[in-house]
Amino acid sequence: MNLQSYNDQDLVKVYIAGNENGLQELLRRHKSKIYTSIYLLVKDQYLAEDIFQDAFIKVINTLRSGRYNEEGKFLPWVMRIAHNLVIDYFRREKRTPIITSADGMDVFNMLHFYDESAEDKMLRDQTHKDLKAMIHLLPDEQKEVLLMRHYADLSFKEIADLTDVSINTALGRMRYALSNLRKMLKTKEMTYKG
Amino acid sequence: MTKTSTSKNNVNLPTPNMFQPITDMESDAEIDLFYDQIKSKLDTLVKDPQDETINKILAYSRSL
Repeated sequence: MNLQSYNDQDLVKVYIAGNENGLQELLRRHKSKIYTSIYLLVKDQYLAEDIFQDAFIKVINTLRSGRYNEEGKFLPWVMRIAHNLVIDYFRREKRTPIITSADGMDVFNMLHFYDESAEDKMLRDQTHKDLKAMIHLLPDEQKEVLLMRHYADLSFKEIADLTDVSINTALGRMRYALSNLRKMLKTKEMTYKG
Repeated sequence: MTKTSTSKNNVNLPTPNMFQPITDMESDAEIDLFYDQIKSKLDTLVKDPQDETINKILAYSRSL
C-alpha cells in the first residue's frame, strides 16, 4: 500500500485501524515542521527531542483511545500539543527563553563582530547563526507566529486559533516579526560595512 | 463667593495623533519582498529529530 498519496486524515484512519505505517508516514511528512518549530523555541536539541517525543506520545494515546476529533486538521492539532508542552516547560522552569546562543555567547556580540577575512563557508555559517540568533531576539509572540507560519506551514486562521488571538493580530505579529528581522539584518549589514 | 472652573485650553486637549499607533514607513509590499528574500535563509534552519527519537515513538506505538 503506497501511503504517500494519502492525505493526513486518511493516514490517521489507517493508523487507528491498526496499520503502524500510517503513523510512520505522518511522522515522515511532518517531523521537520514540528521539530524545527519546537527547536527554535526551546533552543536546545535534547529538550526539543524530548518535547517532540512527548507530543507524539500524546498523539498516539489520543488516536488509540478514539478521542481524536476528525474535523480538525492533523498538523495544527499536533502543533497545538507541542506548543502547549513548550509553554508547560517554560512555566515549570519559570523562565522565558534566554537570549544567548548554544555556546552561551551574547547574541549582540554575534550580530556585531565579524571576521572580515573569513571564507565563504564561514560567512554562510555565521549568517546561519546570526539568523537563528535574530529569531531568538524577537518577542515571543512574534517568534511563535513566524515559526508556525514559516516552519509549521500553518494558516493564519490556524495560528490564530492555536494562540487564542484574532487573525488580524496573528497577521500583525507576523508583519512585526519580519519588520524586526529586517531591521536587525540592516543593522548587521551596517556593522559589517563598518 | 468665588467661582472656579477648569478652562479648556490646548494643554488639556488630546492632539489629533495622540492615540494613533506609531507606524514606520515600511509598506506591506516591502515586508512581502523581504519575506520572499529571506525564505531560503530561513529554510536553512530546518532540522529533523534524530532517528532514535522517531524509532522510540514508533516502538511506543507498537507496544500498545
